[in-house]
Amino acid sequence: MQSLNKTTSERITSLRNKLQQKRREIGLEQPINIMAFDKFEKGFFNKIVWRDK
Amino acid sequence: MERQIKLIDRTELLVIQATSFCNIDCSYCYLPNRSKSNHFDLRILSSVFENLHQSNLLHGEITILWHCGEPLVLPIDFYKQATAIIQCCSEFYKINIHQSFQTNGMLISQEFCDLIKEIGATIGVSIDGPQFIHDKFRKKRNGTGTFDETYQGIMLLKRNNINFSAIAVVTDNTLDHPSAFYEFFKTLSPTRLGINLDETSGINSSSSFLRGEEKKERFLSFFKSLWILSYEKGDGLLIREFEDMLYRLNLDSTVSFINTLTTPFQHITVDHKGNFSTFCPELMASPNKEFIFGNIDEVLVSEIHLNANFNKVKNDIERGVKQCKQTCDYFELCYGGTPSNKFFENGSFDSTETIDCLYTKKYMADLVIGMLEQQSDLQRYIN
Repeated sequence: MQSLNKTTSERITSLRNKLQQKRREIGLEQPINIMAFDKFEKGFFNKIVWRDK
Repeated sequence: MERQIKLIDRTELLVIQATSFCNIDCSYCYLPNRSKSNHFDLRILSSVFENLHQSNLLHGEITILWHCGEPLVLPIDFYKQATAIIQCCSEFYKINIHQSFQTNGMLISQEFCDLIKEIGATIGVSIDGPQFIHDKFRKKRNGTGTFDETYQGIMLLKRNNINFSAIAVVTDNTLDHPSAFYEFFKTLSPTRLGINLDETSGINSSSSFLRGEEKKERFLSFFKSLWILSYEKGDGLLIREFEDMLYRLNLDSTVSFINTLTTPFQHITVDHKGNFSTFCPELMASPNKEFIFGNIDEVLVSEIHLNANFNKVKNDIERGVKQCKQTCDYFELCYGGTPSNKFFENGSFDSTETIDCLYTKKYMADLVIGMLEQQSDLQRYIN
């Protein structure tokens, strides 16, 4: 079992790394830079941001 | 060098209470004044937009959600007049304004369907599952169930080819019936099913979800069944709680996250008298009205930082989020939770775990992470 002896944070990080790796393998870009969440209809949605380079 | 990202301060969601009245009397409802007949004065509507414009919170687009009372008890002409005002405001302020309705579905009429199609509004229907689940708590004032009328309303939407989302309130009673619950919604085929727990909020002073191993196991068993039915059998019913948790897990460490419930001005709630609040819409339902920060005709939304009560709420919410960040392993999947749950359950925004976050964030994360850890191919869980 993968989860034995791992903290919740470690499990989240490990899973995120695997999902990111898979994302790279299939050529998907990273998710957008800012996500927001509301509890009604939208659920997750993109936030528009200014970027200061 | 790390890029600096600055959030544009804009209001995303404008929740407007068309009326506090509701034609039914669900036993878990958090809203006060559900039996009082009143309605939003449409003369206030243009003031709302003028106020948000002057507050520099109107940019690009905004969604109006007619909610916090049953919006469809008002005549269709109310929404036709509202739409005319909204169209004027949209042109004047050069913004896209999207309308959305959260309704119990019982009063959906052909006229309403015509309007929905004409203005491109979206609609969410509150329905708790098959009749024997739904009618247990969603009752009329005479004690009879509301399922038949809600279902008829949904069928009318379907005959008009209007997509709808569904929100189901799950109680302890629902946990014994995962298959019936799932199959019902699969057949109903909403665009998305959101599941809320009956929560301690507003004037609803108790939840059927308490701490304890037995309840935890039943909760996990219920949602595990839904997960298997929706993902592993590939039936395709989108369940908000799973989709959102997958989204959270798909974000890497370079992704910033805004919790719109803990960030002021992202949501503005305006009641039928023009009083406004921010953060969670549920705060407007506090019996003591301490989270009303002003009236839209009297105070600029952007000036409520001069209001000592607002500053106390904002600072307490920030302290509560900071505590969550320091103490909770699940913070990066939650970003500080829901202030209204903290206040109504714990008595303070400056607090951490709530029953709602225990179930809908921590247990849900444990379930989804555990299910994904067993998968050899994660491709289908990338979103």
